[in-house]
Amino acid sequence: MSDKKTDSRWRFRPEEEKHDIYSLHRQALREPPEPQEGLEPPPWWLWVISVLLIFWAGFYLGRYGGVFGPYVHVLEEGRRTERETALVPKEPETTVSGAEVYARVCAACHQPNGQGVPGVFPPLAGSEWVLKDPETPILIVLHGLQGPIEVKGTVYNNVMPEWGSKLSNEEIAAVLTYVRNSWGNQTAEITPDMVEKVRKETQERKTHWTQEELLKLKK
Amino acid sequence: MKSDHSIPGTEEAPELSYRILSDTSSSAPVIVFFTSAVVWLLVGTVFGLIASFKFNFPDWLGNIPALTFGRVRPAHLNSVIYGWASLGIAGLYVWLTARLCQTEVHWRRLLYISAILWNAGVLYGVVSILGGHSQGIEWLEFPKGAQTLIAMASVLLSLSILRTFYGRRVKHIYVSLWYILASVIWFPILYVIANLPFYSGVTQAAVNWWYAHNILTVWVTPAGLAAAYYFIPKVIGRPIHSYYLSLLGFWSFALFYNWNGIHHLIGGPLPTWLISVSIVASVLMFIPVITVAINHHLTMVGHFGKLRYSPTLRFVVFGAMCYTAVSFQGSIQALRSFNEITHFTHYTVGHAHLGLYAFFTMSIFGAIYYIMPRLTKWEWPYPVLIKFHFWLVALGITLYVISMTVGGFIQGLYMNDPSRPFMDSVQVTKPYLMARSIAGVVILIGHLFFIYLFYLMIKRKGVKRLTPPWYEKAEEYAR
Repeated sequence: MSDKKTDSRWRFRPEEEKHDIYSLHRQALREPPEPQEGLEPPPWWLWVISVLLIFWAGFYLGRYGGVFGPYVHVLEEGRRTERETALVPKEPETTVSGAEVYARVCAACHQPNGQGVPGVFPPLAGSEWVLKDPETPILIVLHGLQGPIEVKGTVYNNVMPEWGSKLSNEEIAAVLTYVRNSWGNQTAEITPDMVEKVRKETQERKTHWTQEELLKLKK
Repeated sequence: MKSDHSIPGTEEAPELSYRILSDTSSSAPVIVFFTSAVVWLLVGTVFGLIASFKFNFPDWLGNIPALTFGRVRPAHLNSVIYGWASLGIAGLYVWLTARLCQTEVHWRRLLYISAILWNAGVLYGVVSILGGHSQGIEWLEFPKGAQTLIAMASVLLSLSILRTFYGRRVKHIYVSLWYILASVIWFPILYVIANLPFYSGVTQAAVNWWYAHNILTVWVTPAGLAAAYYFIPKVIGRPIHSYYLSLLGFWSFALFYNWNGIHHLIGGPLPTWLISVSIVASVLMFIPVITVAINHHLTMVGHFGKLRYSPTLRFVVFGAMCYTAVSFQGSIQALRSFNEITHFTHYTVGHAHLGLYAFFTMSIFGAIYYIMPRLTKWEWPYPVLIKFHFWLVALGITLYVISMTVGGFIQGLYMNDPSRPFMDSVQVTKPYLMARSIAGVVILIGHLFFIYLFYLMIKRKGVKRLTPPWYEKAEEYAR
């Protein structure tokens, strides 16, 4: 025990106790010997559990392993459960965003919240012209509108330009579907085919509609 | 007490003199490691408690930038992992290696340098996080400078332990030593690789979780298991049940555990095979865990009465049982169907504390209760405070884990229910978060008792006792 390297600071302090081997190393003396290892065999059921787990591992990797490569592979593509289908929003059929078209084209007059400007531009939220049938709003967007028109009990007198030459069928369908399903509106979707049909039927039309013409058309 | 089938090679050694030699040479570095670990334990607990209270009182301390949630939470994590846990592990490894090799600690100067670098690194890192200079990668928040210090410190620690192992006087290498050697070789490699500067994007996330789970694999868990494998048979004076189970447990642990990290990224933009392999490895962790549990349980059987008389055994057995619990929980949690409920909820937080506190920290407490009297030649002065410490932290962590597990699970169910607004999943956790804060306070009080006792130990103060705590009762019990 006369090891030069050992540090004296934490060692027993002889002035405090009687200097004999028992008080010096009381803690070390009372210990049982260092632990050893028995040689019992592992229980049989441990092997059973291990083998079953390894079988399961093989199954799981085969079933859910995906493709071995650096790219992401979406495991459950096309096999969503009902709950997951409810979670995922319905994908629109067109790639055009109605909200985007609305913000770019319509919001300047009808406002981002669809309320219009009182006395100047009519609202779209809750408007009977937007909600009543699919053809009327398509006609208005394709060819524009002019003169007095009554919306939600108020008469407006202004001009809406025609958009048929500037917007595609997809864009018109998307923006109308958006308008007809925003700010509390809830009506059927408008498809690009419906816009195409109306556009063909009215292709000779070169002037804006008026309220009387639209009401007559619907009769 | 020797088994009929004991392994030859160890009987001949004049054990007692070697025991005294190794304790004398390890005492100074181990006391340095343990003391700094205990300081970081207090710091980490306080940070954790502040972070927890912020869930109950969101505006509290919100106007001090250094004490906002985004800084206090990583400060808590890093001070307990790199401060308390790592320095505690270092002390345990140094002492246990010298003991099991029946030799003195070699290259002790490296250990002192390591302790200084380690503390400097953690201090620098925690201050940087509070100052807003975090790297923003979970478990790797420390700035590069702090990480460099810690990497150097861990290499020095490993060198000293490997040198001590090289100078061993035993032929047979005891199972605790397998875990220690694996750990001191793996940890510096892991830490350096995870901190290399060229990961970005999805790769960074993958490396991040590979690291964050592997620090448990190569650093925290081996330390807890080495403590359990040593102290359980040592205290009850009986050989560990089976050498073969130890072998199977160690090698299956080494084979499966290191694949686990990517299960943190289920649902993330990684190749499916990578995640699936990690899930499979997580579930196969049942093999080493069951093996170790059998080995410890069959060693303990018939000796559970000793839990009442040995503080070490009490803490270490509590830790070993929680190791089984947390590993079972972890394996199940890795399955996709379960993970989609618990991911991003407080459930994960409960799981982390079941592992790092109920398993690891309790095991280290047990080890410190055993080791300290041998280093300072002083008995724990107030056994009743040990009792307070044990019951406060044991009940505190139980309340913590139960409240987070139940609260997190309900939170997960609410988040997955499309008919409920997101805020419902926040509101529903409120009572559980309050329970968590109460648990945190109870744990902090327990720590204060422990820290007071630890202070008395290194100062050799308090009542001078000639026997370990509850020794008289233990004698009676043995008769």
